[in-house]
Parts: sequence; structure tokens; C-alpha cells
Amino acid sequence: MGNESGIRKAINSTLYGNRFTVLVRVALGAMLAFTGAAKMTDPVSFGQIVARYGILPSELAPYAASFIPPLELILGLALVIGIRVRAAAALALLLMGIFTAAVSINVFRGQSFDCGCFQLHLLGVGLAEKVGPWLILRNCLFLAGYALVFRADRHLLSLENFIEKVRLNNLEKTKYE
Amino acid sequence: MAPGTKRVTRRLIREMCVILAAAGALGVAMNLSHPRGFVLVSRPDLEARKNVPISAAEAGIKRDAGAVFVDAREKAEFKNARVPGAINIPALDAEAKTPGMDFGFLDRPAEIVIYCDGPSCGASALLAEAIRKRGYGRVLYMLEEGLSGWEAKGYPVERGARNGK
Repeated sequence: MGNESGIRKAINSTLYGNRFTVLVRVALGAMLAFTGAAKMTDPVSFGQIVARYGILPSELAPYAASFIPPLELILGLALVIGIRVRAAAALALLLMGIFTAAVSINVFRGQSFDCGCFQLHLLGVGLAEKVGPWLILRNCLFLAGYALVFRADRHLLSLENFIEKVRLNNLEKTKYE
Repeated sequence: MAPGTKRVTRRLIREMCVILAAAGALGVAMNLSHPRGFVLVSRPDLEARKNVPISAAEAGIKRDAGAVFVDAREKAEFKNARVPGAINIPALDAEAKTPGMDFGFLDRPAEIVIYCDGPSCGASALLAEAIRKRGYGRVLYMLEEGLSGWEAKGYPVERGARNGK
């Protein structure tokens, strides 16, 4: 351990869970919560976007449009607050994986349309992201982020961590009573 | 798999299921309360929504675009006056499945406009139902004002027996 390089130490510390891991967790969680909440403002429009990907049968698109935004919101809040982090990160990884696969299939088909990712028009930002290779690359980056959060053993600044600390403190106190 | 790992995995799966169930419940609640949410619609209701009422002006545009006009009234009424080129399928005969009626127009790649006398006549709706029972899934257009409204708006009406009939 003594002759470990600085980079190796930093990687190990990140994998175990340090401030950078917290930053990734909170940033990805906030992003998920925002996109989920934004999509929940207009389920019908999101249903049309889901149908445009042409992956699900059209009868199932409304069900997906009803289920995905609340799931994103819950996962995002769980990651930001830091509760049930591993389960939330695993589901976010799965969701992002499915989304990336859907984007890849459409890129392969030669399609290019508004991906409906962030619903930034709700904030007055006229940035419409299109389905394309860049989106796949960006999603891979997010996938790596979720994988890091899932892999981490410790989550600083999280409710989970706080509860565990309180529990250990109480254990410590009761030990000498 | 070590017993400890198994326990952790089981706990992880349980937590994931709880999150998925919560998302499902929130999704249902959102749809029930949201003005732009999805609602569950029964199949007969959905079929009824495929019968779209249209005005004489809209029907005129559809006629120019090659739509098939179907007259749901009785044979004698049809013989007396009709939209030029219309087909006569009396609604009561269609409902009773009287033999000899030609439903070949359903297979044509054209829109279908059904009409009867006027806004209060029920023959169009009855015929639409009979057509649905034959498995027709596309939209059926119903001329809301009927033949009287069509004529009142200045659209052509053919009278008397057709040539050669």
C-alpha cells in the first residue's frame, strides 16, 4: 500500500466513496429528479416521444409514459437524499441502459428526432437534443457515473450514512451502560 | 454465492421492487389527477370514439378527395334523393344481416362518410355499429347535418332512379 501511486489512491478512494462520488451521485440524482418532474407535467407529450422511438408497441407507450417519469423522480430523489442508494443506482443504470439501447437502435435506423431527454423548453431554454451518436456517447458517460455510485461502498453526505452513524453511536453508548 | 452476498443481493432486489412499486403507484395517481394524463378507456368506448362527426363542409372536402359516401336510410328514401355516387346500405338491413348487401367498399383505400336524414336520425350510428361488427377498425366519418344539411349548404344531390337502374 505504501508504494501506491497517487492516481491509484484517488481511483480507490473514488471507488470506495469520496467527495467526488458524492458530487456524481447528487448531480446525476438532481438531473434525474428534474427530468422526471418535467416529464410528469405533460404525460401525453412524453407518450408521443416514447412512441417515436418505435421500440415499444404503440399500445404500451402510454404505460411507459406513465411509469418512467415517476420512476425517474423517485430514483433522483433517492440519489440526492442518499437513501437506498445502491438500489436506486442499479435501477437508474438499468433505465439508462434501456434508453441508450433505444437511442442506438434509432441511430442505426438512420433516424434523428428530438430525444425528449431534459424537457429544457420548460425552463425557457430552446435546446432540443437530437437522437444521434453524441447522445450515445453522453449516455455512456452517465452510465459510468451510475455504475460508480452503484459500486461505491460509502456514501458521504447521505441519509443512509447519517442513519448508520447514529446507529453506531447508539451502539457505542449502550455498550458501556 | 456466499450466504452474506446472497442476503445483500436479496435485499437489493427487494429495495428495487419497492422503488418500482412506488413509481407505479405514483404513475397511476398522476394519471388520475393530471389534466393531460392517460385514462383507461374500455374497448367499446374507444371504438365509439372512432366515429367522428363532421360538418357538411368537411364532408365536401372528403368527397373531393375520393371518400366513399354511404347512405344509411331506407331504399325508397335513397332512390328519392342521395349524395351523387353514394352507396345505399340501409342501417336496419345491415343490423339484421340481410343477405345480398355489398360491403366491398370497406376494403377500398378510401375514407368512409356515413349519412342519414339529419342531425336527429340514428341510422348512421346504427350502420356504423354494424360496420364495426364486421371488423372495420379505421375511422368512420358521420355527416352530422345529414342529407338535409348537405343540401341546405348547396352541395349536389342526385334525385330519381340512377341511369340504368
